[in-house]
Amino acid sequence: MNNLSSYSTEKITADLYPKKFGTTGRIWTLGLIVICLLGAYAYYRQLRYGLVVTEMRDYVSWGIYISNFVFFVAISLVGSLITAVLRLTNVKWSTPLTRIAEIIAVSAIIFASIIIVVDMGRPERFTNLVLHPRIQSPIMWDVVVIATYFVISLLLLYLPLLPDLKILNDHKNKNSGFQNRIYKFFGSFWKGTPEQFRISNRSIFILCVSIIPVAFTIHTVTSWLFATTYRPGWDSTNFGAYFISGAFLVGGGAVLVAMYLFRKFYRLENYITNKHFDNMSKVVVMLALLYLYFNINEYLVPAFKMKKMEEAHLHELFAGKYALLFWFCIIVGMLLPMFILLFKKGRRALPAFIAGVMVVVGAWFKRYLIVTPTLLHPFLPMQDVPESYKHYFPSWEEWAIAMGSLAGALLIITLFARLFPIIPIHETVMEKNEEKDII
Amino acid sequence: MLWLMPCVLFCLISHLAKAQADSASEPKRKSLLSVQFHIKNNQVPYIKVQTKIKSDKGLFAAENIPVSIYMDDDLSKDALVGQVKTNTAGQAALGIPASLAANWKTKSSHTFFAHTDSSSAFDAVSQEVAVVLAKIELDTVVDGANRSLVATVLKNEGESWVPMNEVELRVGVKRFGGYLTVGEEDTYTTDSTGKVEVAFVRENLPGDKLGKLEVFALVDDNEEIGSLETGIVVPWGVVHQYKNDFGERSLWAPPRKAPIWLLLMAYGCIIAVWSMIIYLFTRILQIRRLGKVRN
Repeated sequence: MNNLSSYSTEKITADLYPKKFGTTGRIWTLGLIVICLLGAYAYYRQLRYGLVVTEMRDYVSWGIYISNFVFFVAISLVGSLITAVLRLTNVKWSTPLTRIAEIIAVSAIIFASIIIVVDMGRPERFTNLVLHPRIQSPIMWDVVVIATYFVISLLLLYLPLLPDLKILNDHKNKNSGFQNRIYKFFGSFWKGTPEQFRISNRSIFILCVSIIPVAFTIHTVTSWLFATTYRPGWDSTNFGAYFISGAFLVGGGAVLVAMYLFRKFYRLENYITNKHFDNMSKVVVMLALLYLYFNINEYLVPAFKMKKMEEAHLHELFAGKYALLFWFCIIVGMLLPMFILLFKKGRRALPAFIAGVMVVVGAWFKRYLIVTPTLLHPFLPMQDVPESYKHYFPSWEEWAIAMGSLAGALLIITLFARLFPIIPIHETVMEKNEEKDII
Repeated sequence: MLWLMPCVLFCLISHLAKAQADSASEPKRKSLLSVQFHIKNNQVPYIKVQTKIKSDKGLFAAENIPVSIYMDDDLSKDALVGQVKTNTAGQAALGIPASLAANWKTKSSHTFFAHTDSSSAFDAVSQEVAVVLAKIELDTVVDGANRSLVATVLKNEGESWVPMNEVELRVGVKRFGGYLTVGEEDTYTTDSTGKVEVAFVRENLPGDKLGKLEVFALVDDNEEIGSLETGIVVPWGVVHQYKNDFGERSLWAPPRKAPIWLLLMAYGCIIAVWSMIIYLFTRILQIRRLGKVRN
């Protein structure tokens, strides 16, 4: 951070204290609420008329909902990357980014859970997973691991928040009555005693260690939902690593985007500096290279062998009707951001933000490409079905629900930033004191 | 540069929609109709028609196309065999009705005419096929451990049946989804007596509960006699006994029959991780308690 040691604790607290929405913030929040309501109305129609309102049929039975689910699960992994991996490796520069990463993870995992239930025609049948669990099914493993990851992410968001809750509770006059009630409920017991800090730090350490295997498991199991199904494009032993590397990349991209937006709209230039963008961009370049490696594995090897059953699928991706989308994901979603971020000028705030947006958008469409084209090319040919079953393009209800879920995740992040400091105040003050001591 | 992103997104989604629309649109076409005569087990004659559309994008089956079929006398009402509508594979089949039985028996050769009308989906096309009535007789020859199938192709000439030489046929055993050749060759050609003898070389072929196999002799789309298929049942297979292993522990068994190793691994992981989570909740309660004590 820039000259942080010269800042007083009061200034840091004032800078990082949750602020009321301005006009832009209100319009943004209202826009998100409207999109969410539109999604809710589309879901009401789906509940009322059934899955027939979607374009999913016998062949493409996993459409945009499952693409969205995989996207949410992927982006949620950023919590474990920034918070756990960087914390455990004692990387200090990541401090202002930890809470951003964790709230992205929590909101994404909430909507991953919601969207998977939306995909079910009869959501009440979700209870059957609890009443009649079948441990042999990867879907059961997914439900268990998502629930576990959600709880761990929530704890990892909550425990480091406790010292900040004390600061928020100490400034009651700055808060509304509603805020004070929330802060009191969640953190009135935190007095900042050495014993409390000792227990809290130890708990955070345990969480950081345990969230890494759970994060790997959540996305590996999600990849197994595909890889354990014998279909062109999914029949791969590489899928777990391929999904995890892609997840880290999209998570890194999302953090770059969030860093830029929070810095710009919350005026956090002194806390999220060019140094942070530079470091985070380097991480994203490394992740993009890793994902590129797995993509080459995933596509080059089957394309080299060109087994008959894979041929139609690969042709559709490389030169067929999904070619534009496929090459967009590879070039705009991976190669171009990597190219931008390789240069020092590209690692400044705005170019890094643009690269982050490219990564996130490319990643969303990449999930669409993983799910849909494969379902349109089953090993057994499609027979005796209406022509419409052989194509898939989501209905407006599917788009509305998918966009509503994305807006919902953004709304959670927005409201969280309204209520809680998006950059840890206490940790920033502590680091300032450490810097002072060093000087 | 940011304003480019919504444009790119719009283009991508439009491209996706267009790709779907393109695949559903109708290109320039050529309508194709084919007629085949079939007879099964020397008893059930039927006509099979197929409609296809040839376009720039390839060859596709034309479904829901009405096809009128006549026997011997084209477009005569009395000679109408019937009208059929093709299925999603562009195929339809029609047996010879009883009203044409007398006409059927009086001649040893027949001509079948098929017509489609002009419509938005298909053009007016006519096609015909002329066939001589024929049959395949299939028998077995067992000489110790050697087993053979003998197929004889005969055609009708007035009151008598005469052997047909130089007819290519297949001899196979019925398997799921097709025929497995019983001999070493894919096809055989009849000799001057109209016969072929094919040694049954398939050992240990799974049969039904009694070890029976269905063997067939088939002539495919012969110019003179059409398509013929005759089958018999022979006890040359291995008795197949179905073993139900549904009750054993496996990945595909009911939940209570999950493999032990899976139960140990899955529940072991769940218990380990959730024990840790419960422990952390107790730590939070401890922090609460410490705060209240200080108060």
